[in-house]
Amino acid sequence: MEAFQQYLEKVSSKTKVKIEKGRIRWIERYEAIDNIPVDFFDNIYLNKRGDIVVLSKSTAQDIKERISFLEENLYKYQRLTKVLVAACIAELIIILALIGGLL
Amino acid sequence: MTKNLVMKLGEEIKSRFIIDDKKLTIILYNLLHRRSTLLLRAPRGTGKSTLMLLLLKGIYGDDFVVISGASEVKRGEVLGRLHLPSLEKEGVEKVVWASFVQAEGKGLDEVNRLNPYTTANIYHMLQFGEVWAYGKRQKIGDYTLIANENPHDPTTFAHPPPFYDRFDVTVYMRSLTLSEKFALQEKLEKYDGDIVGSMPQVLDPQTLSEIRREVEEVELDVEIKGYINLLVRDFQACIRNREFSDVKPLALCEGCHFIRDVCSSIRVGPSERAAIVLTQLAKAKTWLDGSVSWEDLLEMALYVMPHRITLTKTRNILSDLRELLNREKAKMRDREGRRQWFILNELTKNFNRGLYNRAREIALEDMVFAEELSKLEGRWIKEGKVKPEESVTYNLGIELS
Repeated sequence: MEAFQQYLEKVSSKTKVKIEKGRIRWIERYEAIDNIPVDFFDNIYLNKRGDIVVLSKSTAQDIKERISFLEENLYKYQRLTKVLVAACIAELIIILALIGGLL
Repeated sequence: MTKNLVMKLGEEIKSRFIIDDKKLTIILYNLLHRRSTLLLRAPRGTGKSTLMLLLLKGIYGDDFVVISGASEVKRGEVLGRLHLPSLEKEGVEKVVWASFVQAEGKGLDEVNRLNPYTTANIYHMLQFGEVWAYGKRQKIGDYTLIANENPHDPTTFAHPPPFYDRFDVTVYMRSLTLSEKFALQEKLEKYDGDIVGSMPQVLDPQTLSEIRREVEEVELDVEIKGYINLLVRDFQACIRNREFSDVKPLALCEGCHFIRDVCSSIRVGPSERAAIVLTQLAKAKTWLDGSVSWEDLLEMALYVMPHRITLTKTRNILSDLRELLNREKAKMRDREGRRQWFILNELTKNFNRGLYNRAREIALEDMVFAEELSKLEGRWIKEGKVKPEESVTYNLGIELS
């Protein structure tokens, strides 16, 4: 019986749990293995490791829409930037011309 | 140094005989404990006698004795005969013990053809370490017994299961594949057709005895002991007490909660010797290789179990057993996942209602756990902590008496 008790103690010592007021709480976490597929959101928000990330059709659609929205915005800001750059150059030429006229 | 000798024995055999590495390794491990017994099972002409002779020659040189079930083994002659001059001249019964009794290296060729009388004598030797003839007793020291048989041969005697249980491991051999036949021809050419005659004596009885003493002293990790005991218990346990029932599985399993478990595939479970032999093999592996794992134990079980268990349906004992052992792997993983031994450990220290409720759920998944919980329940019922009708003992109908 003593040997059996030793066995239980040894195996139990590897189990990380907390017992509080009759409740039992596992505090050990399973480590995800790299080659196991993980969910897209688990990968992004819970930082779960995995070489293969799986995402549902709706999530893929959401991501596609988000990318096209961002691309549209990007195009808009690109055009705005070009206008602003042109304005800056024109302003610089005017300033230079004014300075030249004064001299 | 002595480890190298064991490895060298394996190499010398491998250079003369076509055998799977795993099988040879198990055979070597099995040689490393006292009163080692090995059974080789194979169809005729597959080299079981050759392997037996190679092993005996490698350890004992020419100092070993082989008796054959195929030849006429006269009543009692295997053990000893009366010394007739003493009887005639002095009227005293003296026994001249046969060389088979005295030799440390013993071979039994075609065990299945031994007559029941000789078998009973050998059984007694394996069981009690002594032999009897003409009312005289002779104690037997350490030995190595290597036997072989082809159970499908005609003139086979059906020996009782306890006789086979005395063999530590059984190694099944098969006919050679095409490439292996070429390899064998090469070996035969290399040794001029005399494979056994060319086998050198690698070990000697004194060295082997020293090795066996060292192996016996190896201390196994308690977790390894746990795995061995769990494995054997899983193959033995039956909630309906199959051991004492005239009705055997599968008929016995009708309506049983554990019908999908390993137990329903086993008609007759292994004896406690299975755990003893697994322990000896685990010690031998630790001595020789420095470690032993759960996977090693599963591999060893393939040689320890086949002659000790009877399955409900046997297609091929080795592949059927392999399937059961694979189920065992999954079972052990589940046990770890449930943290059931932690819960049992806590319950042995103190009764806790929450843990007990969880333990009852686990008991429905694992019969071995249920048995241990049932022992604790007996105490709690007496102390009034648990009602008999809510206990696992009552609900699963466990009888451990």
